[in-house]
Amino acid sequence: MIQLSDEVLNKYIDGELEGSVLREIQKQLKNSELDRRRLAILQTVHRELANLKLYQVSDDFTSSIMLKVRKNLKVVRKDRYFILSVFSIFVIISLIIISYLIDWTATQDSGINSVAQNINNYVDYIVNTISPIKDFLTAKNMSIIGFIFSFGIIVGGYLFLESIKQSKRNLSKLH
Amino acid sequence: MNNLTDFEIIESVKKGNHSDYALLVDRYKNKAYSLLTRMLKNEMEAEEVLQDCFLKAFNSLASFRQEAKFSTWFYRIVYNTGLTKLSGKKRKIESEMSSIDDHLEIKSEHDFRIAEQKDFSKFIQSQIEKLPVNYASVINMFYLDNMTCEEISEVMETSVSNVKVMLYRSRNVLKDLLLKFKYSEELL
Repeated sequence: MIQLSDEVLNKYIDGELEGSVLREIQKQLKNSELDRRRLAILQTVHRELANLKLYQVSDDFTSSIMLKVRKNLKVVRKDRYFILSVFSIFVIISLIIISYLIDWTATQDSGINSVAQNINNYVDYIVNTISPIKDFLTAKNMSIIGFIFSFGIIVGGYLFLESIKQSKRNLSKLH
Repeated sequence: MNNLTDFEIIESVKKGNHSDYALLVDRYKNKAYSLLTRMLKNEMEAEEVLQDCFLKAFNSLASFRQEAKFSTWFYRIVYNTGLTKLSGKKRKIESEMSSIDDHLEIKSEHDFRIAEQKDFSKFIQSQIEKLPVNYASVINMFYLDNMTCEEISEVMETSVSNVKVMLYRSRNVLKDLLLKFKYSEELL
């Protein structure tokens, strides 16, 4: 008689065997004292494993997690506000440049007031605006725009690095 | 509130009721802690790592797709964070290099004393704590969390057959130890 393998006995314990295979195993177990002993020991191990010790965390675990969660949310919110403020600075700088550009083109073309009165003329105005913009983008004006943008980028970059440092400090405090 | 399903709690947290996250923490903390303790073999480290896991899970809750079970998703975070902690300490390599038999070899005087007491329950429990990381993880998830082999394979990112091999191997080694120390006479 062939001895049942450990794998088969394990599958028998887990109820993975069905039909004729199960009947065959049951027959084999009935006839073999050795297999019955092996199965009994495996079943004991299985029962003991089912009573596995459940470790308990400290009593204040949940409250400390929730405290960290709340702190974490504050940090995330602060970061969002910072990104929003840097973005706003860029938008404001861009708007200032665009307004300056429009104002400059308006002084070049006195017909701007009639644009507001007549929508059809507005399209013509846009087309006409392109050529004054070309005039506006002289080397001198370009360097002014470049200076403003560079200044904005440097200030924004500095603030961004400071914010990252602050976030890291906040996160290290959390841990 | 405790009758809420995991999905209902997650929805509530996503809507801004952040305090409801405590329900999920309470639901999984001890089981996940047991898994980490068996992986790291250190209760203090396990608690620290578990805190990180709950924070990671909270921060990633928005990306959690409700196609999977929260428990499977969360245990994957716990298991991977545990492995990362282990790899940092080079323990994982040691565990992988040695076999399960090496881990469960009766070496210390303490082990012999337990074995001689003929208390097989205490004996088995003491040996479980010495299982290698992956075997201990499978045993913990299968018996303590009542997870199926399919769910465990998802958590550990391995095949179902591999999980079954680790499960059977753990039982067999413990069975062989019982036979070695002649517990079989008392059991039968």
